[in-house]
Amino acid sequence: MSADSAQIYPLRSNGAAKPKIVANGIQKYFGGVLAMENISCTIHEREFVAIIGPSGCGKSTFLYLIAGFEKPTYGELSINGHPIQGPGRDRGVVFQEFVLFPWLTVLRNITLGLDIKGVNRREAEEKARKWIRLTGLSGFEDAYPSTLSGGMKQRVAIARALTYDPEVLLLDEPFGALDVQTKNYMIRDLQNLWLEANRTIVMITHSVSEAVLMADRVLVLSSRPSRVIADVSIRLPHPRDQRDPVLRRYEDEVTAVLSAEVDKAMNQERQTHRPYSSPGQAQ
Amino acid sequence: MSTETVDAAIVRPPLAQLGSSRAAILALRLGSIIVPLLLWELGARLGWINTFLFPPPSKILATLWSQSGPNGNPPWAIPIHVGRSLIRLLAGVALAVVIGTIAGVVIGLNRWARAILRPIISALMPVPTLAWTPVLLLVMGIDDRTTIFVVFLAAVFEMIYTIVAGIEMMNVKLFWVAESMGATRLQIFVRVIIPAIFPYLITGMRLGTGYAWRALIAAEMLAASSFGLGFMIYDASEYMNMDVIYGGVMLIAVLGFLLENVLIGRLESATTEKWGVQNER
Amino acid sequence: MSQVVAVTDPAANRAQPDPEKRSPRFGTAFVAFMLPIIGLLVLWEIAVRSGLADATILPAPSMIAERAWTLLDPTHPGHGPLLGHIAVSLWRALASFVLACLVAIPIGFLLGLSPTAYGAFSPLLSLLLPLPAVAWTPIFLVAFGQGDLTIIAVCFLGAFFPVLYSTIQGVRGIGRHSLWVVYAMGATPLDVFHRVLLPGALPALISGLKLGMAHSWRTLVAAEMLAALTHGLGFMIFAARSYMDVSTMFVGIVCLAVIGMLIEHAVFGPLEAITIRRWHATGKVGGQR
Repeated sequence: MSADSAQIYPLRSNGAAKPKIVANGIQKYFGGVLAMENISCTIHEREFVAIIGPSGCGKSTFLYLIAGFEKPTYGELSINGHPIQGPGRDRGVVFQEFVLFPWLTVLRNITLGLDIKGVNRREAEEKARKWIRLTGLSGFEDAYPSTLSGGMKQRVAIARALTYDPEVLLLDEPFGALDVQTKNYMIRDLQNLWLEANRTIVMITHSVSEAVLMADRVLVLSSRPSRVIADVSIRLPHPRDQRDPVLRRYEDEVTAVLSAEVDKAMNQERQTHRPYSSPGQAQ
Repeated sequence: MSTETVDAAIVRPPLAQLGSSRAAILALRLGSIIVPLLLWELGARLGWINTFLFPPPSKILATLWSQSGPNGNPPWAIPIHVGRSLIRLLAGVALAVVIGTIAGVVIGLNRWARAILRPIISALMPVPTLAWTPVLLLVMGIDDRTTIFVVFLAAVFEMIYTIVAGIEMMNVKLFWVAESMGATRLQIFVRVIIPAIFPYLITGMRLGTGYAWRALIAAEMLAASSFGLGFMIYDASEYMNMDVIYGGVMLIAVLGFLLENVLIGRLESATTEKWGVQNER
Repeated sequence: MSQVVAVTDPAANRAQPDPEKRSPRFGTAFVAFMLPIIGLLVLWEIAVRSGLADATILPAPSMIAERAWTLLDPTHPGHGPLLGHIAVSLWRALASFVLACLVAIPIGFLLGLSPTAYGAFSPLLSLLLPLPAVAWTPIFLVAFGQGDLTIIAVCFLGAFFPVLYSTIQGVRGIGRHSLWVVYAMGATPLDVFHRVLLPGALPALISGLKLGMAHSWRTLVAAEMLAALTHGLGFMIFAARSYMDVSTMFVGIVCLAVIGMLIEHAVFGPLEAITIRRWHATGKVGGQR
């Protein structure tokens, strides 16, 4: 699974792919504050889209709208042409804070989606084994989450979201709760996982390097109230090298756009003189 | 409270230096209880202490012993009193756990139930449980039923309060995970809610049992006809039988301690600690 | 190679108004609280009047109110005993509670600061903490007979242990690092006490006070039923039993409920608000009774 022995995968999603998730004029009020002003974008089948933006701009909220946990105040959001009406089996979620069930072992956490579907135990465990292997959790099946490190917990969360085969995978700052070393290790380790998963992925992150390393497309959101201000297509094969100068240039461009927005957000905070909600809240 | 809860010790605790084998620690803890008793004994024998008001522990234990056997008055008095109290406690707490859990879950999950029942429970909760005893005495008479009902009242409020708090503190994302997997409401209830509130159920049981034991002893003093630890010590006060009173108090203390810490402590470590869930005392 | 595409036109502001904006209404919380209680009282009244509930066991709220009025009326024979009972109960509860705090808090600080002392006394403390304070009543009855002294002594013990325990936990719960910070600033022991120990232990201490007061109050009722000669709410309720006087009993219960709630909200509520709630967000589990 290391970067050296991985294959070179061809480019995915060549723009002629079908639209999967369509957002049109999304506006969202949160506790009296307009968090999202006008979000419109199209995410295509099997695309890996990273959404990035300054803190508090509502990027996590947008993910929760796609997931169906929240509803937009105005605007339309659809998947496969049908409006999104609530959470469902077609969209799996991985949260920043893992949200594993502490009373279940690693294995049972991972088979949770299949258990709920009613798949019998043996079959469920079979399906789970593949993702356990790919996420590097072999040997940990009978451990309880409280005994695991952050990195391991997140692997369990990812395996859990993949095992029951949702069409779309939604990642909410998946490496946000991990320290830098663990995070870098995980990103390198899981690069091929996303390709193996072979499905539409939407990832929220605040790290530009993460975004350009993993995604086919990076959407940059403005500061609150947010709009999409940049849409960068990254046409590079996987696995990608951080030191690749082409990648570096993508990174610089996105960083430039993002920094301008972060400055704006900081000034906003200074002016309103109101403490910012923590990153987990008004996003 | 600070997250680094360590002893406010500026000096390393000397006890830790004595080698921390479990037996050593246990011996030390027992010692700190036995030493005062020995001092008491000494004081009584040397005539420093009024032996009427403070009979020596040896005399207390001797009386307890003699009352535990067939020669007691009545025969097997202590075991019967202890047993009666424990049965009443068990019955009342069991009832409180069942009804309290159901009520707690309903109130925690259903907005209307919460709006209607919460104020009523908040109004009833501050009433000292014993205050209901005279009314209950009129309704049910001097009987096991009265004492068991008092125990039930004492424990049930705590159960409901704890479980409602537990549900309110649940991470909403646990629900989201299940919903995003297409779980039905019933599945969410069985797979998410029940395991998630289980630690709170245990805590509620522990707190409830503590209050229940207190209420039981007091109720037995007021409302028991012939048996029970509370009755035993109150009855003994009418005869100025200090040995029995002190013996009874010791038994009440030991049993209270065992109930709250040992019994439920074991249950807690088997479940919530394995899951890594922390609960406050 | 720039494929950055500016997507939405920043000039177009199509924001629509917030549909959930509501002007705040004051007093809604109070109404929401009282409504179910009033509803219950109404149902209760109807149940008794229609004969569904036995009035000799469960008197209607109107009957309870009437009895309360009688008991308060100073021109009535008996000279309005209710206020007297309440006053006596409150004085006993207060006296025993204050005494308990005066003794328990200093001892609590000492035990919290000295690990040796704590180690020596903590097993004894854990044994005595779950002990119902009423269990001490027979001993005091023999020693002092019925009356105020016995009652206050019992309630003292009822409040003493919870306050002591909470104080100790509060002091022990102060992180080493908080002390190190102040030492690194050259603090004297007195500085340490009033800048770190006291504020640090305060939340636990106030919780302990609340718990101790609650224990003291509950023990008071029981103790009065057993050991009071003439006055006190507990005595009033218990004495009414000989006359099968349920109305008076319920008057007593209502008074206890109201006073209990007042103590919790009017006394400790503001106290907690200016300290605990301002400094921390507590997610405390377990009822403060």
